[in-house]
Amino acid sequence: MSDLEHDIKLMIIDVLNLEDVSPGDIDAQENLFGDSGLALDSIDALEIGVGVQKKYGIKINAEDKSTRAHFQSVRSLAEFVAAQQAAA
Amino acid sequence: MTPFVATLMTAPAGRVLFTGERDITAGQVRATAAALVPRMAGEGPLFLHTASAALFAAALLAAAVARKPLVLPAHTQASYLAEVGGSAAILIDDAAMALSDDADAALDTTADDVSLTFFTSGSTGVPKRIERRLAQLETEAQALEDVFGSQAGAVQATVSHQHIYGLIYRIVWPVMAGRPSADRAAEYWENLDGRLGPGVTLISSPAHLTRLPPAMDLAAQAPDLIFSSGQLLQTPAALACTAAFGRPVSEVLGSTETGGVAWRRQSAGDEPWTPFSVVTVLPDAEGALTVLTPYLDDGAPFAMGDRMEALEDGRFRLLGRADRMEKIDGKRVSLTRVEEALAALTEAVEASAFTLPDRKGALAAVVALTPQGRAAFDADGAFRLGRHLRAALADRLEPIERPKHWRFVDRLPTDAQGKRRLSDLRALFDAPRVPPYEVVSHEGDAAHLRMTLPATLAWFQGHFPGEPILPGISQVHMAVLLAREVLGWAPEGVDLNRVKFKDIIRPGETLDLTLTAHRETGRLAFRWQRANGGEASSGSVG
Repeated sequence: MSDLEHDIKLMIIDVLNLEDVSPGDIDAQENLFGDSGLALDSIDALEIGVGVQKKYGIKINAEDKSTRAHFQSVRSLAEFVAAQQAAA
Repeated sequence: MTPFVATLMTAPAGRVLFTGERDITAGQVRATAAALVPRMAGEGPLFLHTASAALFAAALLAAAVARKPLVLPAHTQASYLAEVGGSAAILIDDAAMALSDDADAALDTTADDVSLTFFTSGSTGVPKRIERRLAQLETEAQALEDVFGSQAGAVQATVSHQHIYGLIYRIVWPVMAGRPSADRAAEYWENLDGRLGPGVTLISSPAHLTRLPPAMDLAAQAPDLIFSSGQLLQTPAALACTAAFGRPVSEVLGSTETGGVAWRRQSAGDEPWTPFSVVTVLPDAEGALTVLTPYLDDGAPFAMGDRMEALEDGRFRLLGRADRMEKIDGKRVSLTRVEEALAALTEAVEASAFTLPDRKGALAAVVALTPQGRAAFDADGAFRLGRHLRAALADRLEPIERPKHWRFVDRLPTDAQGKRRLSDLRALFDAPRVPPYEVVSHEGDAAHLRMTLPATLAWFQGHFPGEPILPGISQVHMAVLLAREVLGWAPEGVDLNRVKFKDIIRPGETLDLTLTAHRETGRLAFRWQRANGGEASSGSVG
């Protein structure tokens, strides 16, 4: 799991061009969106959504109410990816 | 009655909008409006902001009945509302009303127009009020119907109706033409999966069209018409859309003041723009695009702020903007306004905001730190400080107006004339990175920095494989980059003088760097030393 979290942090850093950030700067449990934590916005969410689909080949159902919960933090995203991969 | 209102007053069972689950009829919109009319009777301006197009249409109808002007704020953050005069307003939002399930309601619709106030970012940085009338939006909708009506279908969207583009294309035009429109704009492409395809018109913008979903087969569900407006769709992105959908995007050029001015479809390259038939475009004396349109009240030519090249066939090309407004993901952003909001933060003395073409035109800021800001930088690092400032701006700026990429300096870089140059500011982002550093001392044109060189530093890559050492020229280059960041000055020349490389530097080492700017000679003196005083290199460049 921690390897996956690390990979997801790397992917976020890559797609958002956070070139001066290392994975250690991001806490797996902090909020990705909103006005705290990483304070990312909806455009960032688009980029991360595209990144997750490209990197893990997972289809995201934006209608699903739980999608927002999956994108809450690096940890929740890692759990989501792991669950999707296990189901595939 | 205006045609929009008249259409909403016809057959109550007619479908005007729809959600994922159900249709919304004209009668329901009327019943919703009827409940709203009494609440519009109070004193104070009426501010309308909804996520639901059905509730918006009902409020528009209610305003026509109540003969009240509407103000359409771009968002509802408290300090923004105060700034645009909304403190004493009656705010009508999604929470303030509910869609009626009644099949119909009687309405007294004798009014013939509704005044609408939009806000865009003015060139001075203050949100600019722009008054339009519903009748003008209807005239434009009719012009769209003339050009695109034969291909148009049920409307899906990724843009808000709080701005004029969304309001016309998602609500006014489809209602008038009798085509149903989706109640909500999709935030993400996946919201639209399975809802596109033949018979659909998609109202979108470069924010989404430059970020197509890799997992969705767009060609298999290509809408008949795809509109983009709010910002230019750069040719490579337009061609990528043409490839993905199997048909080109219909781009519309316009502004809140003028409405739609011209349109184009890029299927092979950078296509010129075709003005709508009711619009006349002319270059002014400076070559800037000037527009004459029936949508403007005073009939005077309106300057769009883009430079243009007129073609013999009546079409034209755009050559770039002439002012300090930038389009960021479709929204007009005043860089001045961003800079003022940044300068008001306790961490910042002053700031410069601009876009980075290399990063999809994202907004970036260089911030000159106060002592308090420098302390936060030293304690938390650049990344956390940037995140903190983004959050601290939330009260004054929309998300799109908040910088994504940050650099922190003690002084903004200036050239020999004391002017800020965009190329110097952008260079802070382009430049290969320097490691996080501590300012041990900084007085006037001299600074003493301390840093630990991480193995990930760009300069160690490939130099040499398995045996990384810091190249000599990188030591000089890092000194120049750090001088620009810390002293706000860097030498223009690249001549090296009395440079000595005495010892090799490996990853993980902690080094002190002494910098002295000799502005009069244009030279920068530097010295890299170890904590024990041993010199690694020294010299001057300029």
